[in-house]
Amino acid sequence: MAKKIVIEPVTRVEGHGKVTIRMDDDNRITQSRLHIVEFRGFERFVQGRPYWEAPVLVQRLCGICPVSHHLAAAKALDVIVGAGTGNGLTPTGEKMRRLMHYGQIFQSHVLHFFHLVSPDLLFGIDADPAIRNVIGVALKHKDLAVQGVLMRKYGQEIIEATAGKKIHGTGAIPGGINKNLSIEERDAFIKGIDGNPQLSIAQMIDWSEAALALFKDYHAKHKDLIDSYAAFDSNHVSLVTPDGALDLYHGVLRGVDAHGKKILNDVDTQDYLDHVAEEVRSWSYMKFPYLTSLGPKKGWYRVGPLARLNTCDYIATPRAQKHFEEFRAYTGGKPNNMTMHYHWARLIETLHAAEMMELLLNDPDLQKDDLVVTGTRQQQGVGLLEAPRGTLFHHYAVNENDQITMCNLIVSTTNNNQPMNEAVNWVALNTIDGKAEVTEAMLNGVEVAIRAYDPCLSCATHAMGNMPLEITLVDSRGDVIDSKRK
Amino acid sequence: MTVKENSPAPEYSILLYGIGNPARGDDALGTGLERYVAHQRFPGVDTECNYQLNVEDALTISRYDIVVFADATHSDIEGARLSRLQPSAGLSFTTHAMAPSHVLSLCRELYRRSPAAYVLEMQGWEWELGSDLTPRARENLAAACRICDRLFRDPSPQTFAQLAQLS
Repeated sequence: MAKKIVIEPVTRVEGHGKVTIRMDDDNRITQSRLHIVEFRGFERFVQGRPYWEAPVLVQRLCGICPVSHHLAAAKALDVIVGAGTGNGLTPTGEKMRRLMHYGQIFQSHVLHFFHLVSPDLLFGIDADPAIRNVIGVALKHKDLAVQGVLMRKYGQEIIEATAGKKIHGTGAIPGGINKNLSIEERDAFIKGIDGNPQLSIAQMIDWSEAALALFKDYHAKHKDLIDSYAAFDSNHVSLVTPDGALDLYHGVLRGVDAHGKKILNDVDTQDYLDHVAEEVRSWSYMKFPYLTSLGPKKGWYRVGPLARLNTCDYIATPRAQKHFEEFRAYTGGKPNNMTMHYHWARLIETLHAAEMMELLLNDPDLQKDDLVVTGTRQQQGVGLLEAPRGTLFHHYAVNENDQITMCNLIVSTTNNNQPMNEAVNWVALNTIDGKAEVTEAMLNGVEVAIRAYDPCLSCATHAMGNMPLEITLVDSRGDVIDSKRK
Repeated sequence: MTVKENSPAPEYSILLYGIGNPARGDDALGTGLERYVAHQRFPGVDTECNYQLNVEDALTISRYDIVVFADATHSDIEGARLSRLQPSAGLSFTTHAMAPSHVLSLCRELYRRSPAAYVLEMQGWEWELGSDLTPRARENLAAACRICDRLFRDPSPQTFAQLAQLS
């Protein structure tokens, strides 16, 4: 009797995701799919609202990366108020936004590594799930857990100081920013928040280096797993500066194929619709983006830390650059297509974000008062940035009454839809195919592959008691053979 | 820090932590209660709110004697329900959020502190983006406000224990 295994929702993945693996009577995999319930109602929700509300409204989409939506919306509205397409803000406006963004990147990457990935690395993906979690890390590796908490807190405090609030911040406004950074705030971040030297920027940089050392040590001991697990060739897309540097806040769109050939040649983000389209498939609520020049079958691509380190030529901060050189040398300068190397790339970006925060905190422009610029009003604007999980697209059209008439978003996790399906398929074929019994470790193996992408499914509603893990086994007729809930 | 600190704590330091997305219908129950409590300025009672709990909240709650997590629930309860919370080291089921019992457990393991913790649940029904609280949820919020009035006007462990048994 043919079988179908359903994992719903995927543990430690935000929102509602479901993995379906179909098996025939001989336990051979016949199909594997990741179904994600993507929330699309927001694009209708903002229609008719005054455009200047958008940077605040968009944060209601998601409690995980509200700052990314806040800044992407603000960037799109910069265009509409005539403040240029990324380089027209005052130095204080742009640098305050960058500080906010690097704070967001830092705390998000830290959460992913310490909370979600370190249990797999420290205990093994086949370890008892009762200890393979952040509480287990706290019990066995307390210093590491404390570091994770303090690093996360540091990033959150940067966000609060720049956005005004930890949630529903108002810092970025069309054409600039509504506050600068006070001397007192600056000194606290440099010397230590609340006088605690463990909450200083120097400590953040040192701990970021230590996290990289932890990963590299694990990599050295588990090369086969890290280099081959869920690995597959793909295209890669991200923003870079016009001269090829990693830039998480602004740049041109660059794409490379699995071998390093440029397939998207540093295009202006305002022209993204000429280069990127989304395919709808009947079995998934989430769309599948692709590069129009290659079509849906060959044009899908990865975004996020791995893609960013594959598309850029260098990193403009010294410590991260040193690690980047090692990262690139590992594949002989060619793109790195090893899915588990997302973790390596993410930690290099964590270090880069800490270095960028240090540079910005020591920049006197952050204490200046020239915060906003305006220019000739435009009818449309596009704002792209590199969110923690990858390229985030915001596009708005506004009428003569200042009301939003059109909104189009392509969120980072949507960009990684096809790659995550590829990863699930790899795991199904390589670890589950032919097995008579599906163990918890195998199921976690599927999740390990998905988690590499750090997907965020933008649910942001969580009412207590509604987050179980259910595993259901059904036959080809849809009858439930077995069901587990934990 | 976003913790809104009111007048100096008298005998017990207390934190009311509202959880939820204020833009998603009845998911705003937790943050709605947080706003009410902050507005009352009960002596010694601080408030905090966020979409969801996370690891850094272990540090936040470690500074208090008593912590009340206020949240919406799907459970079928009448009005609002106060329950004593115990640490739990079980799995966390979502990527970027933690259950109150897990935050309590993390607090105990990392900071050797175990504040007396409670959950104040209010039933909700609708979770759509942009929608307001449903009328029934408003009634539950009002019930939770009345519980907070009794808890925080003259706070003591006995009051908390008594109300946790009654509700």
